[in-house]
Amino acid sequence: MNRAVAVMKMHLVDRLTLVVLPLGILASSFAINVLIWLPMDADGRRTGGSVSTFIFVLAAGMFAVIRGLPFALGMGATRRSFAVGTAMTGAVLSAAYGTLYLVLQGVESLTNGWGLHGVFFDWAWFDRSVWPARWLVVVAAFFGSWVLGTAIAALWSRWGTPALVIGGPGLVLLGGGAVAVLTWQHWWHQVGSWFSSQTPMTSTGWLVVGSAALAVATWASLRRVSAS
Amino acid sequence: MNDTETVVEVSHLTRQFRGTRALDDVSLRIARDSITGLLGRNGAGKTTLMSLLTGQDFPTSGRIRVFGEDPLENAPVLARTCFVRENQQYPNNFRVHHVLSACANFHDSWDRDLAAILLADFDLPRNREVSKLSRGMRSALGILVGLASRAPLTIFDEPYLGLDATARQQFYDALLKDYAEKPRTIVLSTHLIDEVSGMLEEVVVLDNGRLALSGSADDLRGRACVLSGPIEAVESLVAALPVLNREQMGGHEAVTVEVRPDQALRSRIAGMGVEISAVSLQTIVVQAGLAARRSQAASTTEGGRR
Repeated sequence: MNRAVAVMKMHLVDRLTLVVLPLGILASSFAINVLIWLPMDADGRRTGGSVSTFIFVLAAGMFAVIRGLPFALGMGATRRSFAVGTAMTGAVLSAAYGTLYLVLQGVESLTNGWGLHGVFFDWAWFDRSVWPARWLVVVAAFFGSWVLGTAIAALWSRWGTPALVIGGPGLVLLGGGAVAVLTWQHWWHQVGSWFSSQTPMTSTGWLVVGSAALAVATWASLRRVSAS
Repeated sequence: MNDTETVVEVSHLTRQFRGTRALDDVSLRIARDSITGLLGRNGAGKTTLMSLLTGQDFPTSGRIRVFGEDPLENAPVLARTCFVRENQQYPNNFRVHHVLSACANFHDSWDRDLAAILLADFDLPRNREVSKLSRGMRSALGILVGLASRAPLTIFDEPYLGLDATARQQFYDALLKDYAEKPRTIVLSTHLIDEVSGMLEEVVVLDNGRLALSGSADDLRGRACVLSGPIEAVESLVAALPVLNREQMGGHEAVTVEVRPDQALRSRIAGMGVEISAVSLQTIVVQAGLAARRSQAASTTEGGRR
């Protein structure tokens, strides 16, 4: 366990980057969106620009494995303690970023969309009355992004180029096939209503299921990885 | 050597990569509290062996014991190891002081004072990003990590790349000083055999994935000597001796023979104008590598004939 904590401390030692970088990304994305909003009508001022923070967390998860694993193994950590410590890191970061995200959501609604009727943080569609549930879903989304990043990096570390050559086009085919089927069967309406019927709790549930699947993929790759 | 004195024990270790056999049936032991040089040419299998010892790679066959146990995913064993690679990776955006903090968490035995001293000795900038360090500075940082970890088994892979002569001397001095204070098992792979030979107690020579030679450095040095003098005199002496190497210059000849420079040999050369001198570790290592090549080639041709 103390090795897992050492791994977590290693991931979190560079606090400046972990605070400054996502805030910087968020600020620039926000600034660009405000510039886009200004000439627009008030009811069109909606954006998913805050997704950039989730992409940051995904990238951080990838780097945590690609650069952190060889160092941690050299320092005498096991693959298992690396995996546990990296998952703990994801949980800590998700809780911190999720809290900040929810606070900014609150500020957005209190200031009537930053005085511009803009929607930057509160773009999700579900009921906004219960804040603990909304906090949970945002934290789960951050954690899912982190685990997706670690899974991609772990697959790459374990299987190398073939993972990308087969996995990349494979995913495109799978996704494209799904879109084709949905279009073909005229199921898009059902998909839309399924999404809008989700509550924060069910969304959290789906995110947890997805994260668990990705965590299994991460560990399955890491447990036999050779560092170099 | 009994078991408590053995830190590393490898038997019939083979590591096969697609198409190549990086290690081929290697068996060896490394004694507790010793400085062992892992020597051999590029591609001899040195890094593969070190990766296997620290549980970072998986053997194809054979057995590895470190502190008496299989190192793979073995937390108590690995907690006592530190392996600094020639091209050690550090987490993204890490600055030098981040490396120090992270290492302190990984090693219970981490010595902050020693780290601070080495930081000053090697002139390492605390706040610089590791990715912006020069090759020599990266090597110095790796040396600092390995020494300050004070891990009971510390492994350096080519630790001095890019270091100038002064920094290399600083490394050797710091290593020997700290080793004297706190003996532990240190393994270092190197090409610069003669430069480090003075501090090596044990030597392991790999060639083409096979063990070419192993033993105590003093013992290996004592196994051979150089006879030099006028060609005729030297030739008459070495006619019946196992010759490792022959160098001629004008009417003078220096022949390395695999014979102990003992009293019997000394009395034989008396009055012949021939001198005995010590052989360098490098010569022995090079010769062992070449001999291993020759016997490998011979067994291949034999196999082909069959």
